[in-house]
Amino acid sequence: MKCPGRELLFDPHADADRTAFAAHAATCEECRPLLALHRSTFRALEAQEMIAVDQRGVWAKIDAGRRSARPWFDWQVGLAAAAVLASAIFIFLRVSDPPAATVAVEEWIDIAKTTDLEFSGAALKVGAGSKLLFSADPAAREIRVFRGTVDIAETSLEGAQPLAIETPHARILAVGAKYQLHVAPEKVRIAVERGQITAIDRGVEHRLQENETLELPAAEMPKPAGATQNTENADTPETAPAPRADLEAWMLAADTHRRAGELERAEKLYRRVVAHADGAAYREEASLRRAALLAELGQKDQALRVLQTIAPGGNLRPERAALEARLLLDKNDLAGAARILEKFEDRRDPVLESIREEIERKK
Amino acid sequence: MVLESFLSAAPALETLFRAHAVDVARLVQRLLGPGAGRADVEDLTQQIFLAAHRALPKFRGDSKPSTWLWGIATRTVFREIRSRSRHRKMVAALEGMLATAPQQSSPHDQKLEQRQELARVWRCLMEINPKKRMVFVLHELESMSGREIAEYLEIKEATVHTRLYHARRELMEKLEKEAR
Repeated sequence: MKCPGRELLFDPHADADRTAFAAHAATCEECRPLLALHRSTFRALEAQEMIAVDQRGVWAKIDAGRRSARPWFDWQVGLAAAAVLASAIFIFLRVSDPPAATVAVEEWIDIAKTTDLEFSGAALKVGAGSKLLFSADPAAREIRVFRGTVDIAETSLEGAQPLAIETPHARILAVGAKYQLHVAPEKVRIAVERGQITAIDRGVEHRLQENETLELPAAEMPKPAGATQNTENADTPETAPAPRADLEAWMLAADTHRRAGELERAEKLYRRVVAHADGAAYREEASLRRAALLAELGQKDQALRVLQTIAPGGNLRPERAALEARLLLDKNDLAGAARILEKFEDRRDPVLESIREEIERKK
Repeated sequence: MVLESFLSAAPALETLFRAHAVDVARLVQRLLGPGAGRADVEDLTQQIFLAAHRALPKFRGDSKPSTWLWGIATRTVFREIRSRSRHRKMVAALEGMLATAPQQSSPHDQKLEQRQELARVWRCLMEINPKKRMVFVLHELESMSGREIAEYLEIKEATVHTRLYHARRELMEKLEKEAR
């Protein structure tokens, strides 16, 4: 029969050092080896080496995953919708030769070899080296093409919702047309074989008929009259405002680079939007995204400076507050971080709350 | 296309990730044990934050964000460690660690010996029911209180104490048996 004193070791209310059991083992020969075994066990457990995870890589996967997770759905609705969507995707995105293969939606796909696809009633031949993204909502009928060559044969009848193709240069709308797109960083080339398409470039509509070809250059940064300022290095250069369509194209291109992990290029484009925005909405949004990128690139002081240029004294968005407070916290400016959070009386934002907790811990 | 279409990339989850990724990854490693490789840890960390992302709209501020995230993390890892294939994989990794015989006296071998000692303990821990093992690791290695564990795992505090008692007892009995 084992010594009843052993129970002191297993007592759920015992302290970490097992003081009561140690006292008992001091006078109990039977329990002394158990105490030694217990101590060596915990030494071994506590010595477990921790693996350093690749945070940037993990975040990239989470970011890609959340974009396809469609979090704005209530989950029950999401589950039902997912079933419908899965069948829809299977029908709409089917490689015709060989048959029955599918491709992902709502994430950027790099096409390694020329591939035939069907999407929402359109037959696509996507050239090798192309990079594109299909909307998860088949009703939206939207594809984003970042680069490459795509032959599109669209068979919808007049009056149907047009198939929309978004490139960093233009938005192309077509119903029942057959055409080819060649998307390169400096321009997009559109060649119509059959039917009619509309290409919208910086607010200007171009209508193309059968056998017509159009080349649209990448949205150029408008040159400020008489200025030679280097906007690549300035946070808030005084430049001429750009048309809204340009801002949208730059934002699209920046977001595309960001999702592709090309952070420096994305950062430059957000800076371009900030420099040329004629209104607070674009400037604030682009500044916020730029600051987040700078922080990710480790340029925290610069990120903080960018944030502090956004509407001082104006409305403070939680995303901005979280980023600014986090950056101040990293600089050990606890008072500054706390001041930012004071502006939010509603304590339900989990991100802001987690920063508040950290401030308290550091105090 | 309007500006609002870009707003889905709000940084809330990103900020949450920055604040807690390291702690979550550590928790995952503690719960999986030394049989887990980098890919296992990264994969589960990713799953936890995606689960958090899905749950964010329902967060009402009834608990602290860290409590809320810890709850998601522990439940996600628990689902994982209950899977038979995960169990087999972890045990095989521990057996692999034990299969290398250390030579005496070099510092490198001392480290190997430490790892093997850890693998021996974990091999016994892996024989314990995951529910009890989970409570044991959270309390003994992550220093969480019974009340915290009860909150994260959504069980009664008394159940935490019962599981902890049995886990401690079973582990020591298995180790004693192995030492004989």
